Amino acid sequence: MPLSPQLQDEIAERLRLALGLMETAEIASACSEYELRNSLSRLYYAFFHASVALLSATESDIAQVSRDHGALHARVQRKFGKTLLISRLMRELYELRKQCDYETGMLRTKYGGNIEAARRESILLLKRAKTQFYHLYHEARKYL
Amino acid sequence: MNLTSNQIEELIERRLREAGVSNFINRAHSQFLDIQDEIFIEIVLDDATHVESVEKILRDTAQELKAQGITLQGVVRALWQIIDVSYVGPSRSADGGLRAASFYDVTLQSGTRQHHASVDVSWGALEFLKEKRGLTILTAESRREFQTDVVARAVWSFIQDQLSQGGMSYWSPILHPRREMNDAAMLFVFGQTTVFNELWQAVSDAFEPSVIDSFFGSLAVSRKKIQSFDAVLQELSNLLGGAYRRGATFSTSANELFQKLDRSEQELLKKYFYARVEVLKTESPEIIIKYPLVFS
Repeated sequence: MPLSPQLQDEIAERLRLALGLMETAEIASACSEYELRNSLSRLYYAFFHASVALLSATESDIAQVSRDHGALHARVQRKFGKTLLISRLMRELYELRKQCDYETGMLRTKYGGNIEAARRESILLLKRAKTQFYHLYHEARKYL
Repeated sequence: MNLTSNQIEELIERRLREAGVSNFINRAHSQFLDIQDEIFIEIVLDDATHVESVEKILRDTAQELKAQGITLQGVVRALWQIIDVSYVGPSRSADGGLRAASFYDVTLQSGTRQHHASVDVSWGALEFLKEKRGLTILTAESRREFQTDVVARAVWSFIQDQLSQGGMSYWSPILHPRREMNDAAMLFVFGQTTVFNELWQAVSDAFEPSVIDSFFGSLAVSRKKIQSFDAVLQELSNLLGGAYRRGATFSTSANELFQKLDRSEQELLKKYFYARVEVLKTESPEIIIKYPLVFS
């Protein structure tokens, strides 16, 4: 059944936000700890909004689910399976985003205080995440 | 008595054991989720021979639980391996007519069960692959190599990706043996960016029969020539759809999007556009006659 124009607009708006966050989640080779934290946090929310956009097209109660990260992750896992990278990546990025936003000593505890290592690891994570993000984005895009 | 989610999981486990199919379950891929007001179970088998019997167990259990007010939803699927992908020939529709696509046969295996699926690779997807590989002019020999090697490998990756999806997005080659590999799917296989994908789609749309006249008409009205790709880009902005709705506040200009592409993607897109123009010259010469200034 085709989606209502209103729902299509909502999905399009979510996708624009998701893509905007993804495009600005850049990690430069000389970025500061705070720029790195911002980018990783944005990266999670890019996935968050793209997932909500996709699930909105197929499930009715997503407005409620989108207020609970755990419930949203379970829905993503139900949609894509347990082993698909997207499902695992969503949880991984969520944990990372919490550390970036709340843990004052994240750089020390996670990367041994080595900003170089943090940048390197994060750049690789971003590259891996981008492919998965495009997948989510294009799956949702099909409904527009 | 109301069952807990653990008890339901145990109940299903026991029934699978009793039916003698427990050994075929792939634990790493299977999942049991307690989602607010329903239970979701995904049973993944290493051998597709047993899919129907496991489906029956799940269906019967869901029916029993329904009487207790418990919603059980489930997916039963098998893990498949690709054995071979081979080029068959041009695609044909159900009535035997030729389609603008190539037809590939895919041999799959799951445990003791073998199955054939097929993939129609669209003209746009093939064109992308040619441009990507720099194969604009094909000899008889390089065409054969392109079909049996380059496209077959892309189809292999496409099927691999389809088979990797689980949960409710899983693909059953038994229920849906024929797949379509269009431009978007090909672009995804090659990891092209979302922005590239949007622009590629806009170019494809510009040459759709329903749009072609208005696209070239608007180029003519604004006195733009086809040789100037920058000028063409401005007109493509009107064809950006979906998440890039007209009037949206984020990235609505094709020019702006084009600048975000790396050099190789920019070249690829330009080549694709001019390849479509060449096809247009032979397939729809009336457009060239109608808008001579655009093509001058």
